[in-house]
Amino acid sequence: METKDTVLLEARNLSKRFGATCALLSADLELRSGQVHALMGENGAGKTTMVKMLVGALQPDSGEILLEGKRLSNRSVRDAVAAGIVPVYQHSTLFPELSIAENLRAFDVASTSLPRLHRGAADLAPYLDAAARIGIDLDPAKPVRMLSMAERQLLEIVRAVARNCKLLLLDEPTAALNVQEALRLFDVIERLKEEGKGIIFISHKLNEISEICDVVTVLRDGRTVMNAAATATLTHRDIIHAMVGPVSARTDTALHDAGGPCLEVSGLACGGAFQDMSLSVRRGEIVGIAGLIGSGALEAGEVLGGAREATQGTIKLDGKEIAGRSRRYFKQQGVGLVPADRTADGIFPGLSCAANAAASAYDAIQTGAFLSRQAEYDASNMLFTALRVRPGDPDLPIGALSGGNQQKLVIIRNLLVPDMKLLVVLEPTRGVDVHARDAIHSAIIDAASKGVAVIVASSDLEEVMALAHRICLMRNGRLARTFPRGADPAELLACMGESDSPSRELHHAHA
Amino acid sequence: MHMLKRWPASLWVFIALFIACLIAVPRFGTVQNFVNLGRMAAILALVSIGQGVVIMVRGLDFSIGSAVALFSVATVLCAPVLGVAPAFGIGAVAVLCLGMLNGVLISYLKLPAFLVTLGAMIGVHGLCSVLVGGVPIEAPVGIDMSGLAHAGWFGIPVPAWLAAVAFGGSYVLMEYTSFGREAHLIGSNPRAAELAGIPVPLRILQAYVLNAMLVAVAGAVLTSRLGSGQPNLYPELPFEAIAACAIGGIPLTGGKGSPLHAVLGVCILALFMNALVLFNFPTYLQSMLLGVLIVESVLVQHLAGRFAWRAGSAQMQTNT
Repeated sequence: METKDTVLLEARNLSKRFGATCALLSADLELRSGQVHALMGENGAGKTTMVKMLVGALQPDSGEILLEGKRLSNRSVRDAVAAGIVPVYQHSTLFPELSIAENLRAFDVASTSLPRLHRGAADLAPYLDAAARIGIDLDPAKPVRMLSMAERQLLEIVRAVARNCKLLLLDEPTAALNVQEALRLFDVIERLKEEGKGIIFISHKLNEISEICDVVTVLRDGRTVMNAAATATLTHRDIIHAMVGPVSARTDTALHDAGGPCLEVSGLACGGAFQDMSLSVRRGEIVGIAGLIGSGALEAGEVLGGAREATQGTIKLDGKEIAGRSRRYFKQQGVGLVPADRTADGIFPGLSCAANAAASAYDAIQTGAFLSRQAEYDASNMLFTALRVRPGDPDLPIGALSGGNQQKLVIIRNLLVPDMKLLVVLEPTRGVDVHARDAIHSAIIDAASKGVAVIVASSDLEEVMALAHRICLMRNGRLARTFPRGADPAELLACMGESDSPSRELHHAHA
Repeated sequence: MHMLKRWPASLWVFIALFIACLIAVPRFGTVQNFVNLGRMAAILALVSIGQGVVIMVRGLDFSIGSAVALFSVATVLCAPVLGVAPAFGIGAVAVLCLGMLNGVLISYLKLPAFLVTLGAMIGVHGLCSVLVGGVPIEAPVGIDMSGLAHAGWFGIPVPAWLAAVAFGGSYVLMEYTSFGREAHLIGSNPRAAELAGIPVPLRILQAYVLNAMLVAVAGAVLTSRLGSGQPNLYPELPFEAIAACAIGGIPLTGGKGSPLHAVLGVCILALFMNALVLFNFPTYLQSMLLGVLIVESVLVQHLAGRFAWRAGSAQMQTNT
């Protein structure tokens, strides 16, 4: 066994910019051998960026990564694997049509630049040894497509261990596993620990973190805010605190009183994302749906906005059933939707600001069959000023704007939806600067004051508290509790951290 | 000024090339040569406008060469029975059906345009060969279909008029109606277009139907000119059309360009070919130089795009 407690991997001061957005500014990570190290953070905290740097898929703008004291620089994924840093992703990198043996050999082939002949069973010996060591039984002739997701994951781990990896990176390894499979994985992780491997464990499930991780590192807004803190000394609330950041209940903005009923949701469910959601929203009311990633908050927002299909339940808008229809139908009924991922789902790259802003308003702004550029400008002009879009030139391609200003345009597009009754905003201000945040918040409140029912789904508690008349907190796919405006942030955090998942109890029974 | 859009870069290339030809190429500036140029460019312009619209919504259509062949075969087969005008109608219906089929498979069933239209190209070519028994068939003596191709109006051949009308109509459609604006949005980001409430599959289908209409017109002109039904009527047509779009500045990634770009691409291509012919370059050398022109224009646009991107991000940094 290697000595524990030597520093295996150290990342110092990593930073990375993508265009106008800073994905990472000064993030640190220190991993010791024989340690299971949780890496946590909300969406946009910089987790993915950091992982990509560790596995060599991205190069940091500044900062350094040391493996056993040696600096790694300018590497490819292949170099990282050769150095002993092996990622195991949610989507497996196996070849389903080939056998286990062929899959294991595949990387031997890939590691030499010239093709060579197999040497038969001898090749497999180190793999079978490794599998036996960590307690896994392998049938080399079995095709991989017949394996479950859990078995595939274990196979990838075996492959890494046999190739003498030093560090395994498990990215949400339990996301596709059931409870028994997860427990089996945890047993394997225990054995890996004993072998002195370092393990980075990425998961949103707090129960798992306290069960199998020794220390936790939390990223927030591109910085390390909790550096290798021992899980034994932490409560769930501490971790959530670190992820969410200081929450001040700023409710100084006056909200208008809500009017009559507008949206009635009952028994809504969407696959494994969330179940049994019932909610009613009145005209002019802003309802916040808050929850960490995986809680179902964003998915609920997507279903209410028509971007994702409900598997069960009803959505009534002004008494009219709209569940199960297309996003286009939702829009025609007056439902605006600001998607959570601006770059992938929001903006139209290469097109002008005016075109981006007016995209949902054509029915209202065309004269007869014709639609002029002037109509696009006229429709969005006032809102460009109101939301202080900089630079305000509607002819500029949207790519020339900062993230915050791009987000303003996506908001404007939805404010222009004809006859809007309901506005669903997902993560309204993710990754935008404070000025854009203020402008966007004012625009949302302004829309509500004109009688639009608003739903804000966000993992940013502070934002939801500042905007909403009431806050529905989601946890593990269910509405956990509803809080009124001005509720104590501490209470919300406590509610977020409460455990109602059965896995913990099961695990203790198992142990 | 808002209404003053920037002119496409290919316009300046065209003008420069035109002036260079006037100066350097013998017999270029004659009326007869311009009539020839117009006749040659008209067919390509018709189909390139359609191809451009399809590329705008991230599609492609390789089947247009087989589509015009189908037009000629169907028309020549029907003409003795139905008369000339109804036979042209049958040809048009056949081409529109092919376009609809391509469009439905690509838009609603979300199959890759590359493979669907490649399959259509090969399959329809086979169908045409079967219909005529493997050899081109001539229209029977006494049936004259040449009116469309050889008539003129104010000294300009009818095909050139057709191309001009197609250009004007499609330009207005793409730049000044919601259909055109939505096609741009779909090409730029299909997922965002769907979330913005745009009927994405319907618009893609409409793009293929519009393309098929223009291809049908091109098929009518070609059939009229040749007076025969030929499975191998114009196999290079899709590749020339895609090349014209690329030269004119419509990237295959979609979301950018207009019918003006397509037509400029056709003009540059036609001028270039015309100059090579007037210089008496051998045919194989013409092909080589044409290949160079296509790749070189894509390369130039790629480099210009990267330069613009740098300039854009520099501007962004000064703003924040």
